[in-house]
Amino acid sequence: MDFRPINFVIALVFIAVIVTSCGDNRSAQETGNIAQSLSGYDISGFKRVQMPRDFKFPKDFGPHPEYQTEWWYYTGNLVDSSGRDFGYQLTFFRRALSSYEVDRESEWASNQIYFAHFALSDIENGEFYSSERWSRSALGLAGAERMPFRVWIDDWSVQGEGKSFKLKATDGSISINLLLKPAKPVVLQGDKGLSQKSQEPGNASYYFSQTRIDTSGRVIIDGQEFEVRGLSWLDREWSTSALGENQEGWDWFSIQLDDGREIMLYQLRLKDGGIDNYSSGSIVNKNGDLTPLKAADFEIEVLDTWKSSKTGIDYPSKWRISIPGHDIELNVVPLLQDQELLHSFIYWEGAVKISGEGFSGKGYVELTGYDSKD
Amino acid sequence: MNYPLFLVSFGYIKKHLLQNILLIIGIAFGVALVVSVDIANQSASRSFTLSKEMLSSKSTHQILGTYSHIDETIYKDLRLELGIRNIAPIVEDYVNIVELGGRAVRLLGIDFFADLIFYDNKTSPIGNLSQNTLSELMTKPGTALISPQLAQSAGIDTGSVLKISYGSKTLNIEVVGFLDSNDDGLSESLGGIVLTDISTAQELLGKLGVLSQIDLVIDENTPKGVEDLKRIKDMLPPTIEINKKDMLLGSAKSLTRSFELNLTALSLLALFVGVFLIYNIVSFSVIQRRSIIGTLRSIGVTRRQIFKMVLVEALIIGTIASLIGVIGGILLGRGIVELVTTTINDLYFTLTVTNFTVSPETIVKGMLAGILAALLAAIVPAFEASRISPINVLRRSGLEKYFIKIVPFLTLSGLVFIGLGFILILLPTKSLVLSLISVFLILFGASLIVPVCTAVSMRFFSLILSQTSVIGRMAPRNILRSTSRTGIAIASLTVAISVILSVSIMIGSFRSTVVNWIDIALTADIFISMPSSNISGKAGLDPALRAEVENFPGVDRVSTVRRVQFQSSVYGLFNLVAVTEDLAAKNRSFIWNRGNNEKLWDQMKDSSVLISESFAYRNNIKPGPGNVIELPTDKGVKEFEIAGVYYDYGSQAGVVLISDEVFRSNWGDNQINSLGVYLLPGDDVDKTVEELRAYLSKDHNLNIRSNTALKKSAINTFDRTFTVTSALRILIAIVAFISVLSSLMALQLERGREFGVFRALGMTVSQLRRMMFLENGLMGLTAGLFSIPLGVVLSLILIYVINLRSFGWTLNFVLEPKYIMEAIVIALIAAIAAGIYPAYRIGKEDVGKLIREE
Repeated sequence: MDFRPINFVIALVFIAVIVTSCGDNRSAQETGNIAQSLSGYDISGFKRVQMPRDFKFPKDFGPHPEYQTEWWYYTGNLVDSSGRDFGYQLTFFRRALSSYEVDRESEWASNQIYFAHFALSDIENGEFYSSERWSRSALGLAGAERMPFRVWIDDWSVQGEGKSFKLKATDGSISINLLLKPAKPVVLQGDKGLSQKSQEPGNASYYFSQTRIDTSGRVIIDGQEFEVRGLSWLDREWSTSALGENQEGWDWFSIQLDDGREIMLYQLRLKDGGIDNYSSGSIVNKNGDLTPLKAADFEIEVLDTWKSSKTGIDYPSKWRISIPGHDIELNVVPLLQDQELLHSFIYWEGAVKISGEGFSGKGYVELTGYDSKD
Repeated sequence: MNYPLFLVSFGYIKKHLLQNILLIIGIAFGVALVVSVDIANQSASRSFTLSKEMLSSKSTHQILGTYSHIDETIYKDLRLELGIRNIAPIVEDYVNIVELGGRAVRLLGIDFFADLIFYDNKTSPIGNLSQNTLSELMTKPGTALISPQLAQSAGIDTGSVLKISYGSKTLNIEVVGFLDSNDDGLSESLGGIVLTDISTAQELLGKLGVLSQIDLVIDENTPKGVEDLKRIKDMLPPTIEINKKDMLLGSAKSLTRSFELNLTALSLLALFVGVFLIYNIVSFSVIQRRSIIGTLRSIGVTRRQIFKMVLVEALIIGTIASLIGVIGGILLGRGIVELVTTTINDLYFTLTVTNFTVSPETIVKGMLAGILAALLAAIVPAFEASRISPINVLRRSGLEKYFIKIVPFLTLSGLVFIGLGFILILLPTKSLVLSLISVFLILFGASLIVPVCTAVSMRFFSLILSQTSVIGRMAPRNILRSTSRTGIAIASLTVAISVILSVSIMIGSFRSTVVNWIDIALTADIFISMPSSNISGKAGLDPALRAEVENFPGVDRVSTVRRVQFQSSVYGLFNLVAVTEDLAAKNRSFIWNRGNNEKLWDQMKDSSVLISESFAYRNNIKPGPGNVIELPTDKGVKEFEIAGVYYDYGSQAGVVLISDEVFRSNWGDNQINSLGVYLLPGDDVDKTVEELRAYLSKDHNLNIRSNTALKKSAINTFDRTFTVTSALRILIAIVAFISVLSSLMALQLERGREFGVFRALGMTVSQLRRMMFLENGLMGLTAGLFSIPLGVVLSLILIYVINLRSFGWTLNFVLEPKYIMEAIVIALIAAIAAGIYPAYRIGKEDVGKLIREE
């Protein structure tokens, strides 16, 4: 895996975050350098995810610093009044450097690090914008709060207002300012919110989602403003996990069907080319009821690939998803081919379109670990 | 040059090997000086950049408190309110490593995440940190990274504790890792750094809630960059400035520029003396070869070829000498770099890295300087040589006659050069370069007048000595008879000696002025200060110390001094000194003040300030009523009336003296740099020093000294800052010595036939020797005497023009007889030493052979 700027930072947070989530929706296992960077990292003193917990809302939107890793993952598809499509991603990650906090005099002292990714896909113009931020949780520069809920780095933030959320992010001339109103209640993924990632006890995370969130607000690109509406998706996860060794990356799908259902699937790819048994997913029906899916319940077939001209990486870029037990068969096609994020960590995450007999909708796909090949 | 001519040259050089070796040594010394000073200047400049720039090589701007620290919430607002992203906070100060004898380094606290944007991934010193190390740095108090070089010299490994002193505190720092880069420059600068997390730096340095600096990357060529800059400026309080990074570097660097220019001028003076030496020897070689040249001319060699032959000889000698000089200069350079670095650390700002750079340009410069000097000095003799005609070849008297003819012209040109030099000095300008040029003009002009003066003084000597003996009558006339050569030798001797004399007088005047000033400035009985302080550091003593000392038995009262280096875009770099009482009050000497000395303190308590001469000079403040300075305080920019301009030699950057009360009410600083302790009458100073040491050393790390000890140490510091100048003076003296030695020796060695005739006429060897030593002594003495007025005039220029323009200091001119004695002694010793070898030779030569030789 090619870690461009700063090996240690990646090792420190992003990888850990993703790796620890192994067995959940966007999890995968370490690959290449990640494993090396993280091996021997101290998880002592942190709480482990071993038993289902009694989730409390809105409290659990806030941070859980007793666990090492945590994230808030917002993605969504938006459209303006003229029918112009946009996709966005705003994700915040927390990583604890130690399980204890020493009493220090300096306001800068902190054992919590945050980082975030912000991306906007301008489908019509074929443009994809993305940026990254890092900060320690000190001095109010970054952090997460429970009541009222807030998570932020610099001027990027998600702020809770009643049951709604305000999302704000600006990078250069690209900006979003959105109001998110959940259309369905929170769903607990995995086993009542406990998402086991391997056989070892504790290698698991707490994981809940909001799969359909009505979204409205403004997108600004180079001074041009767009009033937009659409749907967002939130994934919340926290854990303290060690790593396996045989996984290479993952393909993750969040699909919002026009018939009112949502599907979440992830597939963990093994180094030997196979699919890990801990791959899984879920279907949320119109009423918000969740049906878990096991690896054997679905099949994902790659129909096409796209080669990034910047990194030379081949990503899958068209899929057929079959869930025979639910009579579902759909095609997933990226709205824009180049939705590759090139920051501390290289991956593809972008807006997709859903089609198929009797199916239509939109969604988001995340593809990681493709840069570790060759 | 064709082969036969080459043989002529080679034969000549071989025959006069000693003379040519001395010539080569002389030029080589001059070149070595030029090279070593150039190395020192370049290395100092690079040391400064390395000491200052370090990690944030990509930043374009800096937000700096002119003195005050920056409230850390400003940083937060920049990020959260303005959304400015390419910024990184820094908390830093100078500290001293105990294990390394108090070597100054920067304790630099950064935010590793914010700083990432500034680094080149390939060379970043923090890019390869393991997350365990980073985790330790951020979560474990008192942890740091240092460079492997620093660790090695301090003899510690990871996990060990590094002791550093900061103010009166000793801090223990745990080294958790090494800081390295594969970029050579960066790696070198890391040697002056103790890197910590920003939180650790705040805690260790006691800078809670504040930042020292914010680094930024702003592209002013984009509309967004311009807009961001404006938004940032609008948000910053008046005490905080945002500047381009280069601007601040430039303003600090410009302080040392005059110091460096002075060193360069001194090294060029050495080369200047060298030019005389070359001229001397080359002319001499032409005179010695009159007959050969005449013969060559008569067999068809052209004037052009003769001209070329002499120049090529000079070129070859110049090249050999320059090569040796460059090598010598590089060797010498190490020492000079040390000296220059010490001076900069004492006088200007703290350097944490001592660089040693020998650039290709330096080598080219040194080679060119030597070769050009040789060619330049050889042009006139080469021309002379080409003028030798086949007919009058054997008549040296013709040459002397010709020389006597041009003496009035030389004298007149000399006067013109001197006049020009003085006009340049009197021009109403602050240009240092102009004043240095004028020194060279005057020196050159004076050397042109020397022949006429020689003639006059030799007539005078012959009058005096005519009564003594035949030899006494002959010696001055011999010199007079061959003015074409003796005149030049004496001129070069005069130039060399006067340079030494003037530098001696300047340093002596400086020293006596400073000693005087130290006497006035240091009045307390006992001084308590930090064990090691850095001129650019902000460390201080524990403020509670004052009360502790005040209550100590035998203590009458205590005064405090707080000294901080300020950096503002208006006044550049300067020092703000806050005092609880004007220690020097009655005795302080002023250029101008408002009212009398006693009343000034009341005015200072009422927010007036005193400024030092160099501050006034640098900022074009004319001493007189009605002047104010504007200083950024914590409460905004405030005007302070200037109540007086006083003489001060403690800082070239300049001093603004302010009352402690006014200082504390305008700037949030409770630190003190030193305490002055006044004892009750009759109390024993040395005894109290011991008692204070015993009492205070339990809780504090302090330097407690009596008035006498401190004065001694202050003068030591002064002497240290002038070591480099003194060293250069000695090196110039060596060039001068060689110059005189070789010129006079050549002069005597050439007189073989003349001596043969004298011997044939009945003079004994010892008479001849006596005559020769007398002649040399006379020439040395003459040069020594001539150099007195010239040296004094030059020293006046050095003191009242060059020093003022360089440093903004007016010194008291002090002429001590010992400097004059020293000058004459050097001249005499060189002149007499020059006679030793020829005197030895005379006894060996056979009279008949001597006469036949020509």
